[in-house]
Amino acid sequence: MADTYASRIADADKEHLIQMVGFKIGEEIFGVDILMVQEIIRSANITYVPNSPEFVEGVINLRGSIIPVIDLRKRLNLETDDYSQDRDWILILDIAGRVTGFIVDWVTEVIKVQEDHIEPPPEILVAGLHSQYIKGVCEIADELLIFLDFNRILLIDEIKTLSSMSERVDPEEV
Amino acid sequence: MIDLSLLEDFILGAGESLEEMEAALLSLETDPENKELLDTIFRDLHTIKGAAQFVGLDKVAELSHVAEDLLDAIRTGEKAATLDIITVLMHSKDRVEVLIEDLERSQTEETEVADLVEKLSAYLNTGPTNTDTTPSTAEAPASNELEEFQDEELSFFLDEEPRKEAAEEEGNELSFLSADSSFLEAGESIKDATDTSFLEIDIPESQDTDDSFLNVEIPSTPSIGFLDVEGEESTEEDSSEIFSYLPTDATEEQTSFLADDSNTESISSSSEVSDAPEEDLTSTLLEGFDNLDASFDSTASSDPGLAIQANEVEEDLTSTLMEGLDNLESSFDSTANPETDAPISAEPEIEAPDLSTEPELSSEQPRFELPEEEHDQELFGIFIQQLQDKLSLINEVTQSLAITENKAESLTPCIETIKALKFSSNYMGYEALTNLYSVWLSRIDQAQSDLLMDAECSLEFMHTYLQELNEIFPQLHALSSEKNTDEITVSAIDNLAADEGHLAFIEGLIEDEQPQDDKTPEKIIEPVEKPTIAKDPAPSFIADIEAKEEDDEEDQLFKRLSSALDSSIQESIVADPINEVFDALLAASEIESPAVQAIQPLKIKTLEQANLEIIPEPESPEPVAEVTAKVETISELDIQTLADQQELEAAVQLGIQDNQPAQLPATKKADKAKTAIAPKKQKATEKVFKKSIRIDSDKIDSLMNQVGELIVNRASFFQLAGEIVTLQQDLKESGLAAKELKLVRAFAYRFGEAIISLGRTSNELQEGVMTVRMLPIAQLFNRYPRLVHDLAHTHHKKIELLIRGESTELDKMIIEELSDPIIHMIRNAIGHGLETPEQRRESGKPETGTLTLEAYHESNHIVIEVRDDGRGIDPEKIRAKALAKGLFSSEELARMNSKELNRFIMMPGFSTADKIDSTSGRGVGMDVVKKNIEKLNGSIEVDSKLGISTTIRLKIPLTLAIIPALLVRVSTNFFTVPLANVEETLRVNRSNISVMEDTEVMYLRGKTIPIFRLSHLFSIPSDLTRESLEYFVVIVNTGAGQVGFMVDELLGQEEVVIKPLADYLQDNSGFSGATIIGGGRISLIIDVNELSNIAKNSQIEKHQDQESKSLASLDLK
Repeated sequence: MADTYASRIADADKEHLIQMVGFKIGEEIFGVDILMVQEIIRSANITYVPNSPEFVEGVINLRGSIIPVIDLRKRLNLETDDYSQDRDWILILDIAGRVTGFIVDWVTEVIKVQEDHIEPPPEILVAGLHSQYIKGVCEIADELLIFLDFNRILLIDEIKTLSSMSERVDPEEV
Repeated sequence: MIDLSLLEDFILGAGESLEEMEAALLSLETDPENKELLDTIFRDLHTIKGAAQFVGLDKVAELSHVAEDLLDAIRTGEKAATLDIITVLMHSKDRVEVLIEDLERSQTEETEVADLVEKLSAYLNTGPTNTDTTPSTAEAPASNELEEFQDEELSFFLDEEPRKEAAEEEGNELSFLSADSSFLEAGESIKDATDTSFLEIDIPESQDTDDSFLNVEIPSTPSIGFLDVEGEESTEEDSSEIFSYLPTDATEEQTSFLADDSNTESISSSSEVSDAPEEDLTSTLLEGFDNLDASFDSTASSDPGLAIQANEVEEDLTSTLMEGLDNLESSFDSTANPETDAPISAEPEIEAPDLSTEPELSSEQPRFELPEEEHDQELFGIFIQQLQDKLSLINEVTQSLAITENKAESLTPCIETIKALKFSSNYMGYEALTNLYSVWLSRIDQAQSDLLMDAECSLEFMHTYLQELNEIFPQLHALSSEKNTDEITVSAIDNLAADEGHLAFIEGLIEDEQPQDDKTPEKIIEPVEKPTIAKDPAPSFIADIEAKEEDDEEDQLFKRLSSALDSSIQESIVADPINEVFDALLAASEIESPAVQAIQPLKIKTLEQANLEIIPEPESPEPVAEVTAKVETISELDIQTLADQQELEAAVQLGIQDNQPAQLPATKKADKAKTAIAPKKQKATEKVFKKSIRIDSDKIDSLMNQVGELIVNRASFFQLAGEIVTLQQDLKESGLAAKELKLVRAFAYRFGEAIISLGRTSNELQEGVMTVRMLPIAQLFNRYPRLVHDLAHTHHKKIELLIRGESTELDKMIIEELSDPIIHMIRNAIGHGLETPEQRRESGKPETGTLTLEAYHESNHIVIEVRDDGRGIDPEKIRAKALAKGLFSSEELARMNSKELNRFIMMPGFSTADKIDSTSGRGVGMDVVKKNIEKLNGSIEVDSKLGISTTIRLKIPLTLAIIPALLVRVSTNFFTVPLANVEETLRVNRSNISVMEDTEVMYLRGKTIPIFRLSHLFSIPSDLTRESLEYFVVIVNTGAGQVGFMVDELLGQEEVVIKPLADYLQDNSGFSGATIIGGGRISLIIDVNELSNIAKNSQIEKHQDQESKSLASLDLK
């Protein structure tokens, strides 16, 4: 009895499952650890924040808290030409205490992935995406799921903030 | 070992003491002879030392102890408070502060104190008169420790009370308590003893009856056994005796009296009482008083025995008692020994506090309605937890005592544990408990020594104590969870009553044991009297601690009870004769036998007097009814109601009339004695009730947030109201029938009314919450005297610091933010502003410079001024510097007035100082000040008259979280401008705006003000077109002058709650945060300073851009 239990535990350990929320931007499938996801909302009223980095769409009022919303497509420098109509999903993520919203094309489903199935990001660009934002990739139903590193995404944007701020100080449209 | 839970409290408490001490030390420097200051410092040191010892901080305790000794030497005049000594004391204070910082950080005392201890000791040892205080200072003698500690803890709690008195009082309380608790115990054991050994007497009665009954019955029982008399007879005498002596405790005694009667049924009068207790009370009492006379006569004969007893008490209690006890049954032998010594030694000391408090109790009754002191739940929880743990520990030891060989040794851990318990209960202010521990400790101590000497000794008392504590404990626990429920207090009182029963019982026992050969039944009178006296200190003791011991409900209620009873009988009596009687009686019983005889008539006289004075004013005060009712339930006996009590009074009076006249002089004498003691007591009770509580600031912040939300919701309601009015208008236009329209109008009206009342309430709520966060700025200002003092020394300047308006209140958060800026300004003022004494003399100023810190309110702002009467700021120097830095052309600078020029000193790296020193001159200070103040939405202004003064004025909004703001709209975007920055709003004609160097400007009252379009600054669309003729402009004040922002629409003023933006959105964005406005929309709050900077920079860049472009185009050509 005890043996089977122990072995079951070991099995569970071996095939340690990671649950991910899958979402799409364009044709690519991305995943984010489900534990990071605070909620998923649609059609929020986004208030534009002037002089903010380009990828910041604005802020939303989430039950009294003011939360910045980042356009993930812009943030990841994915091709922005094919703006689809239903781009109104916002993933609210809690990234090390910083609650931030990310606009994605649509949220697909919760995906369970065995941890050992996730492979480190390849050296080359995946879908025009720098590998620094990628935690790993794994194959699901013949498609490549990109496991994003949101800590990195938010960290880099701080650096970016500074540069983009100095760029944007000068309004050309006077 | 440091107790973390207590550490936090210690840090807070010590911080306060240190603050006070610093202030006192600073003033001591100028006024070394001031006794009051010395006392203050001494007290603070003492408090710190006591608390440190308690918490277990050896270094703090050591340092403060030596410093205290030094101070004591100064205080007694053995040493002069020289500058050196004050400096060392100051350093010691700093060191303690460092130690406390250590504690906050790492919970250990890291910093060494040896050097300062040495220094202090050196000062103490050298000097003109080296006293014997020195040896004791080097190390705190362990033997004194306990005593000292109690002393000090008490002063810690009593605060202002002279220490001597405090010590004295504690002594009294202590002895009372010891008496109380040991009685209790002895009572129990003796009850057992009586059960087994005196079976020939009619004992069952005593067991059937309640606690209060025990009070009377039991004391008599042992005597009965020894003296071979009719128990019932003497019991009757006892009770009447008590009754006549003790109107104060009338109800109590009455209870026992009645209980006695109804239970024994053997006395002639008792049948009457039990038949119709209410009607025939009078006659019963009369009878009692008749008996009284007879008893007194016989008392005289027993006096020698009493006198002997008193002497014995003084000399060698234990041994005498041992002898006396030997005659008792063997069961008595072991138990009574340790128990008896405490009560007896207590007796002589009881009288003093007892007397003086009684009148106070009756006169100060309204006091009970005052709000009770706040009760630290958290601390209490810890305390209870500790109590639980320790008790189980002691329990274990006690259990093991029965089997161990080396009893003395196994008691040692118990002592440690009880000591710890005592400290914690002392810390919590439960003096009753503390005293209980003290007695317990001394008991164990004795037992230990007995054991070492192979003396016969029972450790039974350990169990008794444990049991007692376990009894108290659930009550405490209940109190912690739900305060002040009647059941608890009632049971608490019950318990106390039981204690008294035991107490009385034991007292009786002690008295009886001594003159065993004296077999007159009258002998019993005295012993029974004693308990009543011994009982009396209870209220006084409670009065003592009442101010501090808020949660000791049993004491509270008992006090209320006794004082109410007191007043019911003695209402309108100016003096309190009853107490004198006790006093005299007690004194007599101690000193000489004839005195007792003298008291006898006196007693009667006083009673008579009391009742005579009652007669003109027969009605009892309201509370009596209430309390009497309570007593009824509490004692669980058939106590008379108020009506009975009044009857009783009458009865007393009647009884007295039958008695002999008394000696007036004696009463007067007693009167005097009483008045002499009374003022002393007054002080303790006058102690101001502490009404403040400590709350986690997070809780207040969250409350504040919620209130903020409420304000926002209110705003949306207002908006709705507006919409309804519009709707009403629309409906009217659409041709709605008048009848239906009327309904709509009525609804709109009611809605409006409701909103107005909502608005009013929420406004009040907001204000209320805001005031909670407000703290007097004294908190801030009090940090600076030391800084000024130190800086004055390093700069060799003479400076007087004036602090004004320190009671001005300000948001706590702002106070913290202001600390550094003000330090900078003070450093500047002392470093640059104020001249040296020589320079000042030369320029005809007084040598001592004045530095003024002032705070005052100005509408919605608080203004803080730092002013010095120094050399002022030289505008020429600034001009030169600005020119040298290439900031402006000399023409521009020449045009600037001094105010504008003074703004330069706040620019980074702008210093007019010729040389850089340790204090100032790097040109960073004012820049930092400015940054900090702007962060608070405040503004800064420098005003200086060359050679006369410099004033730096900080203008800061009262609070940070909610600000009044102007709401503006640009296209679909809403922005909020803090009203604090808004100078005015204008509707400007297009023709009034001109373009200068690509910047739109307008002339307003002779000034040129740059105008920036928000739509341009923010790169957003705008409703405004080139064809628009009118613009809305918001003129705002920035650090660098006025600026206008052009908007599409002005929406109005609103209170907004500032919410932070993500840092990457807030930094350098021109926004200081965001707020949620009506309809859940977000409006960004404009940081006018930052935005105008951004705007100006962009103008400059654009300018340069254009220049380079034009250059490029020139090149192309």
